[in-house]
Amino acid sequence: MAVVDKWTGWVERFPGGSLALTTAEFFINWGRKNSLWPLTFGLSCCAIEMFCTGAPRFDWARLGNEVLRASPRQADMMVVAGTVCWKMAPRLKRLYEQLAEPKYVIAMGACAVSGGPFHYDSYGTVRGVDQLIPVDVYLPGCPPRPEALLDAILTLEKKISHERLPGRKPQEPHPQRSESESHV
Amino acid sequence: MPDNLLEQLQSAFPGAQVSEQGGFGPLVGLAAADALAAACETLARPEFGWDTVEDYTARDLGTSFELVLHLVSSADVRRRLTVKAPIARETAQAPSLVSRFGCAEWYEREIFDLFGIRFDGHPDLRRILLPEDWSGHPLRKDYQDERLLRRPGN
Repeated sequence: MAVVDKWTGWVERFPGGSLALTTAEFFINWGRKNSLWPLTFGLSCCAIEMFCTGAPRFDWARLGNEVLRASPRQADMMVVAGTVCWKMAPRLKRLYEQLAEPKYVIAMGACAVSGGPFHYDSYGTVRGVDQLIPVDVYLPGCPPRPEALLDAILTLEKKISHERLPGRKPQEPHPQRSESESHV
Repeated sequence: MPDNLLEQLQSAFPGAQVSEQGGFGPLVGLAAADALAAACETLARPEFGWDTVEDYTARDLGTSFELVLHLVSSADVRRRLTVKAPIARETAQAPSLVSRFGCAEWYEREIFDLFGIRFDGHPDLRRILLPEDWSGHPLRKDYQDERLLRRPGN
């Protein structure tokens, strides 16, 4: 009961008790955002910070980012951690296309966001991974600290919790729920 | 370094500019790249001992190219020597060192990739760093690429 009290987002109270009543949408989003499986994919120095975030000191498994998958077909989230060069671009695009739907992308670091230090005067660098694939969360830094990547993952989870099932209108604020509660 | 090393180098390469500075160890500036393979053969002899290619690259001097070869002695890795050789921009051709130094193969591919210098006798002269369908050679000073964004103010 104590745990259920905290889950005000999807527990409806009835006279004489409470019942976990919710929408399919909320429940699916809740499941999705708490079981993101990232692809094992690092491009350069930002990947070191990403692996550090997965290691015990920061432990992104706490957020449901459970296991780094070696195959894109088992993953639904990709952290583009590092510099994307034009030679890597077709490979990166293919990996993205092989990810299981629904798929999410975090552009980690200055290079993946905009080309970073290689934005100007570089013949080999893609100026931002969003020229190749859609990006959900941009995370600046050179490289970002693991805390920053955790924040990016929380931001992505917040974004997923607002997703609508196909064919539904954009979400309006729930009349009985505050904004902060709806992120639970 | 023996005292008379520069004199020895000068007598071995009469047409070259030999100096003590300007590179890793002594610098041998050859008059033409055609003499490069023979020069390496001479430098690998026991009295000199520079028998290993440590680095091999090129420069674009605007009107011509220049090959820059760093040799090291396998008997004493602190002994190094730099060989430079000019190449005409129009032909952009040089003899390959692969038959003598196997490790020069990827260096020559890299020079071909980024400078467009062709090496006669290279067994597998393909691009090594850039994608296969790339056009142009990016480290040339006159390289043009519409994807390349120039820094404002430069």
